[in-house]
Amino acid sequence: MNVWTPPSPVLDLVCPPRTDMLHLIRNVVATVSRTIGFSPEDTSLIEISVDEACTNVIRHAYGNLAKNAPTTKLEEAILKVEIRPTAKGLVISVIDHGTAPRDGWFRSVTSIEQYIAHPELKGLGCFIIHHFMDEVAYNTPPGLGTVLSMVKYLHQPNTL
Amino acid sequence: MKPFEVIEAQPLSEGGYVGLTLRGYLDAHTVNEFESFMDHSVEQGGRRYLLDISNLNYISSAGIGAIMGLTQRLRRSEGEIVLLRPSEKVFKILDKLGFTKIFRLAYSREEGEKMLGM
Repeated sequence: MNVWTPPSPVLDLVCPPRTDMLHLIRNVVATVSRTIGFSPEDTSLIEISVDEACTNVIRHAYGNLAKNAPTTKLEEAILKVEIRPTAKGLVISVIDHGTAPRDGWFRSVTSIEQYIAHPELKGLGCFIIHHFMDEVAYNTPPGLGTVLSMVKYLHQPNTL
Repeated sequence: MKPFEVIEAQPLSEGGYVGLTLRGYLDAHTVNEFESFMDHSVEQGGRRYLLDISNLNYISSAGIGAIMGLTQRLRRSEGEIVLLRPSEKVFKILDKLGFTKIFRLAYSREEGEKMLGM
């Protein structure tokens, strides 16, 4: 899947991979989304998709790190959200330096019915990202963690 | 302001239901507080719940998963959970994902109580 390569990031958020950061990240993403002309409904979809991506980083990429790693490793752990408005919409990348997920994990649940039937109730976050964003690309460069890029297109012309 | 609060508006009574009010946001940061509260309440004998979520301004998969797990747990013991007056934002997320067909939603206390067999 091709994802745009826009000129330069407009806004980078770098924060510790902790769940108390999610509210702040959501607020920033929602503010940018509204400002460039997304409807309240699309803004909500972008907001929850970024939340889910960040939650996955916190829980999975750094899940074991938080429990077992030396303090220096914890200090190196970052959660980075790149927010890039473009003429066509919004490109958001969620970047971590943690453990890459296993193959296939990212699309472990493909429908709500499957989620309901799944006894452990896992994978809804990934389903939400794919369901609500227009493009999703997932890269795990060796030794460099994970980059999840998401695109939402502006369906209405930017009126701002 | 606290990011999330559960307020027991109507405590458990014999043959009755538990009425709770949720405020704030239910995400990966606050879901543990909700699950702990509900675990304790169910252990105390709660089976039927009316959750007023009109002041819940955000829910993520963590919150939806917690409510789903609770719903399945209660339904196994002939219990039920009704979500009362979801905010527009929360409703749209639940609806777009198909959860409005799975969760029971009410738009007035009377309607909710009826759904709980009161």
